[in-house]
Amino acid sequence: MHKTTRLRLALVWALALVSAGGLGACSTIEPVNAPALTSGSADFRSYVAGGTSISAGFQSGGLVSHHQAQSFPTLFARQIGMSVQANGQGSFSFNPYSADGFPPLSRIVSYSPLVVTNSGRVPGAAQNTAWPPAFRNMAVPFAILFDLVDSTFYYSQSFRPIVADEYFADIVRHRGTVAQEMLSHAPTFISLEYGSNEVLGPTSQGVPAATNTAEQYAAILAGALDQLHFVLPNAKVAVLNIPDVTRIPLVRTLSPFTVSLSTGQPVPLIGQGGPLQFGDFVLLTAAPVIGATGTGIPVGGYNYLNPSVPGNGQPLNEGLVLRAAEAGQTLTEIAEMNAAIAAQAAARPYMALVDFHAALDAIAANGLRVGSNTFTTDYITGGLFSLDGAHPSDLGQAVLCNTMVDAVNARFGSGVPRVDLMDWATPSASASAPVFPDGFRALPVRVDGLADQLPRPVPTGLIPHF
Amino acid sequence: MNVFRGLRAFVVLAWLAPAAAHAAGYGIYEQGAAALGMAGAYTASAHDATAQFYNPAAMAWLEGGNVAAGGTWLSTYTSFAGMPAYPGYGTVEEMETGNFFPPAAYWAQRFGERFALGAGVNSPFGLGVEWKDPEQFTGRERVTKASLQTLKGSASAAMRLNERWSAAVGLDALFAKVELHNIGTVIGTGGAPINALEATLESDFKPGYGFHVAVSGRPSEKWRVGGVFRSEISVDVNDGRATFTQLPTGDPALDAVIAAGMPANQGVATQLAFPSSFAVGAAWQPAPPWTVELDGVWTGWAAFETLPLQFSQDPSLDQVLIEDYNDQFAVRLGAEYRLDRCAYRFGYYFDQAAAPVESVTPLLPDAARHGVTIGLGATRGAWTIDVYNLFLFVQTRSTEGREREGYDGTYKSYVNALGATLAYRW
Repeated sequence: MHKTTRLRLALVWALALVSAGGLGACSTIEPVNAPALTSGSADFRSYVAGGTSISAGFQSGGLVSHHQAQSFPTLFARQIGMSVQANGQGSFSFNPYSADGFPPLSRIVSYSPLVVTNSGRVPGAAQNTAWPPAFRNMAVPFAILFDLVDSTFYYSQSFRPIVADEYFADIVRHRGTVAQEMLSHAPTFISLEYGSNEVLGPTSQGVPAATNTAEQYAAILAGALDQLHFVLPNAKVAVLNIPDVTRIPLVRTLSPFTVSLSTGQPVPLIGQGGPLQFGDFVLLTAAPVIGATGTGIPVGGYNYLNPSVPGNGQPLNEGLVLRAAEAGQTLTEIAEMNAAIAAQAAARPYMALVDFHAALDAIAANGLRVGSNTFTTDYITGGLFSLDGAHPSDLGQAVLCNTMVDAVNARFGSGVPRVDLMDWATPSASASAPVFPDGFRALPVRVDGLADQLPRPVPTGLIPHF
Repeated sequence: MNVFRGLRAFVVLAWLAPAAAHAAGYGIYEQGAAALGMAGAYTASAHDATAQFYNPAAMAWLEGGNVAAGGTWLSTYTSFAGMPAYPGYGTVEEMETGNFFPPAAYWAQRFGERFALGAGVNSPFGLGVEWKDPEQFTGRERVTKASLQTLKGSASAAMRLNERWSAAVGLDALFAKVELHNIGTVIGTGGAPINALEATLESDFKPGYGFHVAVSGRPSEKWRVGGVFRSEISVDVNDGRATFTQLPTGDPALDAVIAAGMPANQGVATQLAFPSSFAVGAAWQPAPPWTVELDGVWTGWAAFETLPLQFSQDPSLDQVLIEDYNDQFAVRLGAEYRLDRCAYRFGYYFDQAAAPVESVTPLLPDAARHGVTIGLGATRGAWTIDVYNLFLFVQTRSTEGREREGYDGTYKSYVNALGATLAYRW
């Protein structure tokens, strides 16, 4: 065959081959489907959760069934194939509260002035107290790590609000300790979320965490993990560390400064002992007294919560202010507690560290983009915290669930699918809640009580985002 | 020169259509059929009027006068599979099949033994995006349709420095226009987005200016080398128009809210960056019919840091889109078997992605790509026609959950380019 002819034939063949490859390449992409659940070195057949109000699904000042069913342990249980029912009687069981919750959850009743209250709401009651086995979600609001292994303070009306005793009675039900109830299920996987109350409790009352908090926490944690591993040597444990409580809306929402109505210059609010300083925090719990009476606002200062009420120059109660030094001491304790948790995780191959602290830091710094919305740690409009300013919203719980999923998968080589945040990234909690556009960023509010009669806010800066 | 008359209408019409990006970012390297038959590895061995683009210094080695004109039919296929958080598993989106026709025309003329002049018009950058079913497209808040059209005129002067080396300098004038469409939504009851307005940003052609320098060498009988640098060009689009059209939602109360917040139609300005590039090549001619060339092409895509949008009436609308592209490198390998009356060409190239994963968006789903080319040439007297086909396999690229605007998933693209160049020499 002539050389040129051979070359031509070779070119034709090459063209045909490459064309065939091209036909495949221009086909439409196959959809990406959710990965199937795989367990890796973990075993998800029996999951129990212990923890605080965060794990319990506490929001806006109370527990109510529809938020309990969205707690991050409950969401995680769904992701590993357990069933969840509103009555708490699915394979991942819990004790749900009826009506408007217990205590009744707060709701927004006025935007301007902002009024958030549970006044007029119907108190609920526990609905599943007769459930024979222990609950799978053994998280109890107000619990500290000590409560995991010791029942001394469960029902004693000691250092906690009386409502805490009710929670222990409804969830632990005088059947021993939280740990004993959890172990009754012979769990193969356990999540523990303790520590926030050790620091958040004092913080919410405007006092620092005690200086020995971290030492006590570390000792109890090590002992509890030793016991768990001794009884259940094959069980895997996920432990959440403690977030920076100075990043939450409870602490960050109210400014310690306002402006003088006469000069327009910044002026500090007034606390016990005089004007507040840079670095001091005014807690969200001060909002009612500031809004209603002008307490804390200097005379002649602008009342940023209720302009119609002038500042009266009276100091805020010290329990409504977290001083800079107090915040610093609390952060030191948190850092030491988290170091203890990290050390335990490093030493125990069966333990995954869920870095709740880093997740909150990242969101506080950059927000969380879900679809076309950016969620933040801002009060109400941020979408990640409930109306009490301290506890996650349903979306916040979903984010927490994914943080745990990622940590568990990384540690144990499992393939637990993440929850789809779009399912929670809605602007309202109910079908009757108003649309709340904000420059074509519908405010991602998912809180109770956006009263339907409130006027729709006029959006500003309408511009689609290129 | 009469060859241009018949092409004039085609050229004018073709430039009205946007081109799709086929080098990294929004670059288009398809500027001559003989070159593309060799996968664009032509910096050292350029031997027709397209040297005005691939290496103007090579014009000094051409004989007499040369013109070349032609174009490419680019067919693009892009689809997208969503992932969490948005738009989520199971989502599949497709672009309309793109058909683009970027043309090019060049002239080169020797004057005496040492000098040559050249000029050319082409479209070295472009972008064409149009997603199917735009009112339901899950990425409609980012973009539903976009185009970037460019028209570049260049002129060069080349000179033989000695028997082995030549050099060239030249000026470039780039005209660019941009058009962006998207749909703004509000989130309705239950969380479903409701289309609320359509926004269009568009401009007329605006100029930017740059320069190029080149060198071409023939160090031995069997070797050709070359290099060409093109400067960055910045185009200030200062007369753009932003048009906002309200879309009825079916809810009069909501429509009233949206109407109250509608921005006015107004002017918009932006700055477009067209990166510098530096190409070097070495061609080896082991035996008379064969030429094998290897080129490396660096493109300074790091210049594409941001895309600012400044509105004339309402500064609160201003945006600065972060792009943060990276400088990018392409390797091109081509071969030519050239006889008196015909030529056979084939080649391969690899083009790095310029966009970081955070900037892989429905506006520009940039990815690395492998190109396989095949080409033929036929010469009859003073006329030569070259044709080529490029099979461009764009790597499937995931946003890895890191896209800045939270639109995550995996893009798959394929491009086919079929082009021809008709050349005449005298």
